[in-house]
Amino acid sequence: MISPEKCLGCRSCELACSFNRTKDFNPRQAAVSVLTYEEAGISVPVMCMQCEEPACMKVCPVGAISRDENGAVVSDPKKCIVCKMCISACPLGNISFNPSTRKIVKCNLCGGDPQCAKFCPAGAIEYKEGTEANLGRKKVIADKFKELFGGEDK
Amino acid sequence: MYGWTGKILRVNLTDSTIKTEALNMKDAKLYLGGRGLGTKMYMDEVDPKIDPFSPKNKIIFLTGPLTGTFGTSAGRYEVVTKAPLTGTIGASNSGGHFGPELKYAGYDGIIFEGKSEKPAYLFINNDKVELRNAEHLWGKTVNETTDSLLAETFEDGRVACIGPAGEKLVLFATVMNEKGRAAGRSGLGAVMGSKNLKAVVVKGTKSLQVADNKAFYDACVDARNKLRAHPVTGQGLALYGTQILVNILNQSGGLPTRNWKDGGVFEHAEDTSGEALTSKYLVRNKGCFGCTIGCGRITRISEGKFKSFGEGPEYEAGWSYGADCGVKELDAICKANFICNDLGLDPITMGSTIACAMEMYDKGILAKKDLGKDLLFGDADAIVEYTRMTGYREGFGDKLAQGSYRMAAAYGHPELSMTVKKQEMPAYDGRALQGIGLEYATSNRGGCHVRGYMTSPEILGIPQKLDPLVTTDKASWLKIFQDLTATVDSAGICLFTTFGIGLPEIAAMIRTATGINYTDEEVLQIGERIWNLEKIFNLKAGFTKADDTLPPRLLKEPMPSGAAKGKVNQLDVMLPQYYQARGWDKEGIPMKEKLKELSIE
Amino acid sequence: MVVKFFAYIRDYTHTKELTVDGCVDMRELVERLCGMYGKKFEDKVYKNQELTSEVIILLNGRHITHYDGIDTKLAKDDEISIFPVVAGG
Repeated sequence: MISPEKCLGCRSCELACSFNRTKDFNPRQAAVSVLTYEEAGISVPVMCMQCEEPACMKVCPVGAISRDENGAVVSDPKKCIVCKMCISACPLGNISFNPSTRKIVKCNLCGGDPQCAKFCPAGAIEYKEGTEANLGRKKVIADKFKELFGGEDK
Repeated sequence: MYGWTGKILRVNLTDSTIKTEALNMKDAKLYLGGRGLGTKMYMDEVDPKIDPFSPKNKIIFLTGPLTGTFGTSAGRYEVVTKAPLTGTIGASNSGGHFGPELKYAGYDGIIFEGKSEKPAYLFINNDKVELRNAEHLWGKTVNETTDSLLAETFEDGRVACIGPAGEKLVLFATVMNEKGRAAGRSGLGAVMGSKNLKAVVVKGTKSLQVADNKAFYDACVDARNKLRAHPVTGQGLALYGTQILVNILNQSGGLPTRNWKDGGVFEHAEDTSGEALTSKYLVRNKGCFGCTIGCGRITRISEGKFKSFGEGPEYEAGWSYGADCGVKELDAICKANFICNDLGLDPITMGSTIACAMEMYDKGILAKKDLGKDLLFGDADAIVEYTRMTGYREGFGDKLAQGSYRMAAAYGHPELSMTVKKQEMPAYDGRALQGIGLEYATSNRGGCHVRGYMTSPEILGIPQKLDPLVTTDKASWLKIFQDLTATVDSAGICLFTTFGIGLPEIAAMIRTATGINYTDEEVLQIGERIWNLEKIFNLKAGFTKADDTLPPRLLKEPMPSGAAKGKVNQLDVMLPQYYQARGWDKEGIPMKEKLKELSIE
Repeated sequence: MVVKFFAYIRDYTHTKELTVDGCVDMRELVERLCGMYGKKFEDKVYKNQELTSEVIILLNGRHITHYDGIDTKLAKDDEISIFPVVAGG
């Protein structure tokens, strides 16, 4: 889950991601990107959301994309022919092509220990079930009702 | 190549030639990068006696071996040249994302030489490097320049540039990157202006490698975890930014007030504090590249005559415009700070110079006819208006543009300038913090706190608490702080990491990234080597022991109130101890044995 | 005597300033404050009868380390400032 309101825009996630996959530091080859909106004062980490109905998986002509035991939608480099159809198919723009390795860059949740979440200093990227995060947001609204109608909070 | 990219761009602005050169690895090993290696490269090519605005002067942008890697807050680059404000070696570093982007383009740094006939900017996209016409940008502010350049090059590029202040050779003009980040002190932006160099735009898509992947990763994880667990770097700085210091310095009686004449207690400190900024105007924290701390502030004043938006203010700007000018309106302080960012001015020198003018007016040295109106301590409109006028050198702003020393000296009262080597001292009174006074007097770039931050042990108790009112042990502590800082500034990481990690963690990152098997002691010695080289620059530029001093106010006027009441700075006690701790003679000249020990020729 | 609170210590005390009477020394004062402001405050400030390393306490502008620490004697007109450890620059 991502919480853009917490993001510092430091791009530690991009570094951790690129290093974990290629042993290089190159944010442009990471599967996560931080987009910053200066005037609004907000940064948004964007990454594969491991869709329930992945367009990338459907479009892959050689069946290289599948869901693993961690729920991640992963691309098998052994099967992948780098036709780049998945890049076109992803409605979120979260798959890319690394020109130096000549391979697809696709988030695989680092085998269940996503480095981006591990190193986010602000807790803007968390690895957990979406339902929990929803509860947090519901609580924000509930808190406002509490402030409005509730008694003294001592 | 590990850590470093191994390549330097050499850009001749006179004949528009661009060359790529190999990094001198022998020197890189001895001086790392950034501040240290930049100074070495500069001294190899330029005579320290040069006029900073001469076309023969050069200006170097240089990253460090950790810049752009997973190291802690490893987003720094340094700008190095002879400083227009002080005449000393000038080296200022900045964070944000510009430095890492330069390395991803494949370069450790850029040497600019000569002078362009017309305004120009440097465009870098990996191997494609061009000098381009910048006439359409000349006169534009930092925000305008940055937006224009990104629109005409790459949306995801990074821009370092000067504002109108740099173009007009204001002696404390900054080099700004990504609008809100500054290589701020000593006027290095004016050197760019003198060369008609408006900006550098860079986009890089290459990769950086380190020597030992696993060991480097482990070292970074260890250091990052320590920073996140430490109450200062993990909690305090993120919550309130650097302006958190206003109240603690004020309570300690060390917040210089009204051009330092009213001592170290400002009655309106709370109004200008980090607590007030956070509750009233903070939009969000901002982290520089790869930073776990996130001390940056995005701030918005939504209404009123000081309505504005931008980054900061940091503690120093909050103080220079606040306590030092006697101003309590935080919205005006924010606005003045944003103008500094946009016009490319150093807010420490700017606010302090206005404060000095306020005292001159107070004492009748400046008259209404000089200014056209009153200039009283506490005037919120004045700090905003005079900052703008200085950036454009309008009216009295032309005098302020010289900094407080030259301005006050022109009216016969240099003693009212709160400067060391003509650079304004920052927000800690050397009478209430004896060690920081010694730091100001001995800093190689004049009045400056980030060369050896003695506030840390003297007030904050990091790494341990020293009594700020005594001179005992200050010389030896300062030496270690100055040396470690020089290493940090040259490695490419942020000085603020040293609140949470120390030499062992920093040395481990440098070792594993570069593959050079430095011991911890050797890493610290790199800092000592840099310090001595900078000192040699200043000696060659004509500085002597007589310049290692403080304004008479700190040496002769006792603190009027607060915990340090009755104190002056005892520099006469500490300076000989300091020279001795450094292995320098009684005149402050490094002895032959010391230079040999440090492999300085 | 007057006690002033700063930064996120205020989140525990919900006040910037407090007037206290009759505390002989710093220990008595700190214990009384812990009683008033509860566990969060106590966790930050006072553990095992000692001050934690996460606070800075000034007595009339001097760090209490330079007096007698937690056993520093207090007088009627004293001003005490309590900060979390912070830094900046």
